[in-house]
Amino acid sequence: MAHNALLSELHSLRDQVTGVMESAVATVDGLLVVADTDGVQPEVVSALAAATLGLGKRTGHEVGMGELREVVIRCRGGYIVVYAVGQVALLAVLADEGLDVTRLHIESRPAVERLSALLTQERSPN
Amino acid sequence: MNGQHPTGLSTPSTDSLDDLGPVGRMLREHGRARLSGVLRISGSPGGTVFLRDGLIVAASTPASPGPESLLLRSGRVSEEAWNLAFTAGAPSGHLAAELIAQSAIGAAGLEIVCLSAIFDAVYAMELFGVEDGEPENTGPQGLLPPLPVLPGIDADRLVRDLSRRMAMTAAWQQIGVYPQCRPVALRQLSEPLLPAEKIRHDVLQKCNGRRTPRDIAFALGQGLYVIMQEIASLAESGLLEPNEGSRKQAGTVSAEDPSKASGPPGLPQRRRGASKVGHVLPPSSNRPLLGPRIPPDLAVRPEPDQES
Repeated sequence: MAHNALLSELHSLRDQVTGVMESAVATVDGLLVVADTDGVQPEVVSALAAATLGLGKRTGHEVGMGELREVVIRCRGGYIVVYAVGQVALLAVLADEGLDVTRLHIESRPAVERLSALLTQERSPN
Repeated sequence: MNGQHPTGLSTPSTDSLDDLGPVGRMLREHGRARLSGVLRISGSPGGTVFLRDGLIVAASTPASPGPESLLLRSGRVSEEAWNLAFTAGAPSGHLAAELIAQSAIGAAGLEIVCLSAIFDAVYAMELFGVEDGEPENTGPQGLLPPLPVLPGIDADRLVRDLSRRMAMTAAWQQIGVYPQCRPVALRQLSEPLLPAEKIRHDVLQKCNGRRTPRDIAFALGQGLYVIMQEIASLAESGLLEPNEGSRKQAGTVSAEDPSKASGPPGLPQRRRGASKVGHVLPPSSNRPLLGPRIPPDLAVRPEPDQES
């Protein structure tokens, strides 16, 4: 089932990247698809991540810095990182302040690609 | 400074203390070469060690909390005091002096925290495994992280402590406590009466099957070694299961139950009125409750097609 496959991607991101605590996949308009969360409310994170992504894309476009890679928010207690997953979805990652940022950047790209493939499969079942 | 909580576990034999791991060997080598610079250690996750004239002045790794996390997350220093001291002192490299000047923390207390962060970072790097170390000679004026320990710690002292900690850790592995484990509390302790018991209580509260010892160390602002020690002790007392399968825990949510999907599953879609926000918002007299909110300047815009 694609939901389980999506969830395993989120689990594996948490296993592979030191500091990743929680994550969620949502549609680009903020509806939750699947979440690996602990304390946070996944629906709320999904909605806010969608707004964050939109704002990041728009700001990047406005200042002419090219295509958005990801939106990184850094707080005292950690990071919120939002990636676009294709044109239809997003990945929000919550991490503590010890996050291995380099590792996340390396691991997240293929993870986003795999999530995108899973979501596309789901949209057009054979 | 460390190891003040006896665990009841057997003390390792002294033979194993002479077995240096890769991090110990690198520290000893560059300490003896009197390196002034940065030692970048690659691994999973690896880390960075800063040396001055062969003495270790700072070490950081994603695998253990640094001085900032230890001070702030544990509540030893308030957020406000930290921000004030950071703004005033960090650009000129006097954060420690500022923190002490503002009475945010005592000089001795601060030094203990910074020292233990170095011991802990070196231990964490060794524990999680390293591949290679690349020294970079920056000279005595190279940039240091915000809270260095000056003049620094002798590499041999650090390596001795590292060997002792690694030997203790090897003993804990026999009861299933290792760096990647995700312990689950079997029952909680009642609110502690003594401050010394608080950490035990707090660690148990964080053991929900999702967090590794490293995650708990960050969550509580305590050193990784101390947390590993507490987990081992709690596991011995039968208060937690060191490695419950982390996949079975609650907290994973999916938007739709896949078992009752009808037709093509697809992504969730917005349905008008599904949020029921209309029931929550106060009714407004001059605006229809569910109608589109069009800013006035847009609402009066004429349609050009009809004009031409």
